[in-house]
Amino acid sequence: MFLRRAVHLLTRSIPRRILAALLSIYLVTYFATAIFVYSDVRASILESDATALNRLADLKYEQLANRIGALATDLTAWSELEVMNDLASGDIDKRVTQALEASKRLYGLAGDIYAFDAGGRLLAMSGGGHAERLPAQWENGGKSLRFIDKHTDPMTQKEIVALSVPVVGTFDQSYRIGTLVLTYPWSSVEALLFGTANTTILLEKGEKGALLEKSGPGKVLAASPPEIVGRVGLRPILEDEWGGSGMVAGRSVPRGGLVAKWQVLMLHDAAGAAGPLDWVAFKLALLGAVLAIPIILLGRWLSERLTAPIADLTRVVREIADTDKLDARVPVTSSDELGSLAQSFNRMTDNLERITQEREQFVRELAALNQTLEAKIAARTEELEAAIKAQHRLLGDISHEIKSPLARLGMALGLAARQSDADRLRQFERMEREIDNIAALASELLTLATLDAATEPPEFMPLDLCPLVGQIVADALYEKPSRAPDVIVHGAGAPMAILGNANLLRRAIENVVRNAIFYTSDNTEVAILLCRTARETISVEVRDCGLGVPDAALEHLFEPFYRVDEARARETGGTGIGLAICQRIVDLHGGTVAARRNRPSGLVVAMEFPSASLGLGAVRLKPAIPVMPLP
Amino acid sequence: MARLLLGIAIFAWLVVPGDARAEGLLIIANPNLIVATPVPLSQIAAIYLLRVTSWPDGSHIVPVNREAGSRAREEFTQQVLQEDNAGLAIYWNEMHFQGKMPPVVQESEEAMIAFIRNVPGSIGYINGSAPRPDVAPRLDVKVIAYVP
Repeated sequence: MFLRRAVHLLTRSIPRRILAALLSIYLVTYFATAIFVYSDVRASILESDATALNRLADLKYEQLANRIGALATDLTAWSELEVMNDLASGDIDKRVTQALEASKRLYGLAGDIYAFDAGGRLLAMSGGGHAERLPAQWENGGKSLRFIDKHTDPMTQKEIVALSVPVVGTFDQSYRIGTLVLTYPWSSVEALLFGTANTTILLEKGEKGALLEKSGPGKVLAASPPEIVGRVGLRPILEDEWGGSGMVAGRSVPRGGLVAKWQVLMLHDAAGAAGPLDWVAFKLALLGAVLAIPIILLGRWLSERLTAPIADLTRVVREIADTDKLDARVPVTSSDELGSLAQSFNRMTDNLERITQEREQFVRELAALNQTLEAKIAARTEELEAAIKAQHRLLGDISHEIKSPLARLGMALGLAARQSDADRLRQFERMEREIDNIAALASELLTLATLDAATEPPEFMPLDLCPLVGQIVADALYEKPSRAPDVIVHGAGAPMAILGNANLLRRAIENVVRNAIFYTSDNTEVAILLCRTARETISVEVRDCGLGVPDAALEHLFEPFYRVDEARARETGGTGIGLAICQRIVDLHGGTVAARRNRPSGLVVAMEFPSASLGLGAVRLKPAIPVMPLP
Repeated sequence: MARLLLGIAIFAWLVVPGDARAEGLLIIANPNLIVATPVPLSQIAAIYLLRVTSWPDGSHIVPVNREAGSRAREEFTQQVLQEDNAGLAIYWNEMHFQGKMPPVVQESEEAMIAFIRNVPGSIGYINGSAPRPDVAPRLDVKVIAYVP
């Protein structure tokens, strides 16, 4: 967990990654070298330790051999003393005893010397003893000195080694007169052997002369400390068994001589031999740690130096992203890849800045252009409105101005008609009719102009459409009673309330109803429907089953002076602007008016007004004819 | 017991003043030696002066001397060898360098007798009166000459 966090921390940024890489390269290199050197030094130390142990073992062996050799030389010399001739006479004068005692004293012997005559009888000795006869193991039938290995002294019952030499008469070398025996305490051998702190083992060679290396264990004569024998188990101790709790072993070189069968083996714990190396290893680790500090500092400096351009680039990019300002530039500090990257980035930023500036300028220009255009349009609209107003005023003025002369002309025609004969009277009537038409046209035009030029909206109040429509139908049928059977009014019993101007609404609806009733032939059904739609509007539909109009004419019906059929229009009369007025009024009330084909034939004109609640101030019109409920 | 008696006898003989004792030297040899007795004194002198080293039967002669300063040796030197001690010491030293061992020295008469009894071909001398025929068998040595 800790490691993962450390790795995460180290690999979070590029400088840290570089640092981590440098550090790991250093650690691997250093510690591999350190381990290699350590193991090499350890091996050579153990090797030199083994060599030293070999030398030491050899030295010990030599010491032992020298000591035994010196004793043998002494004993041989003593055996050749003239006084030894007394062995032949049974040492009656105790000269041999004196000589032996003097030798022991002078030579500081640790053991004793015994002299036996040719028959094996004990004649003289340097110390105490019990046996009177020459012990079997000390017998020496040969002519030279014999070494008797570790055994129990038959005289003192102590562990000893002994030297036995035959004594011959000085007067006759062929005449054996006795045996001289020198004992040497085993404790002295051990004292010679175990003088050092090292583990020492004295071995007696096996049968075939091969020591521990190949055959089984040799006989252990002495060991210090004694338990070491159990520890090494007398198994072959090889120098390549180092490591762990292995041992370094040194052996004396096999030699001839009295103690040729002996071999000194010196052992040393490998751990003990390599002990000083632990301190070296600790110092190596410490050195590694100490060296790591300048390497970390250097690596940090290097990685920061290497990645400084990237950091600059990152900072500038963030600055641009955060502030949208493109004037920031990356300092180009080197000519390498990072330097060229910085240059490219700067070039890119230059281009972007230029493009942005151009775009802003373009937008500014566009805005200015737009402003100019809007001003122009406003000016033009103002002109147009002024022109329309002037036109309307002119139209109104004309209509107004036409009405007075027409009235005067009508009066004049009336006066003239009273004074004319019957024939002319008909013409006069015709003229009156035409004047009426013109007056109606002028009146309508005036209305239209008033509606178009109205600067203030007319006064609105809540009113019920049902009685209004009923009154309109009744008025129309009063003028054309022949159509009464054809006209049906469908309306809901409930009031159909809207907010509006009663006079204007009357005019609008009357226009449509009168068109339906007056411009269809007899026996053609005309239906007027009043209903509340799903959209909460009040709908007034006028349907006739007359000839209708062509589809192409439907959309032009509400244009002023639009005629579907010129000939028929002249025949039926009408000013041609009734539906236009109707549309203006419906627009004023926020409603819509549309014409569509009736099935199978005829025309439907549908008006819709936004509904309103009928308040106290509503104008209630009494219906003139009964209104039938909707089917 | 025999040795004890012999020891007592010899001791008694030694403590007796010289004037009271019978003067003379008995020349003794290993009892196994086969030789015609008495051996002439000149022959004995030749043996001690290392001119003769073998008995007639071919065995090696081992002459035994008493220590210098003893009365028996003084007498033997004067009577048999007819030389003085200092001259003899030089002579034997020279002979030693020529590879001939000087006579073996025994420091007491008992030792002398024991040596001669044990070592074949050995020859020595003890104080004694002539002919003392009883002495030799008891000491288990052979008396081969008498020096009055």
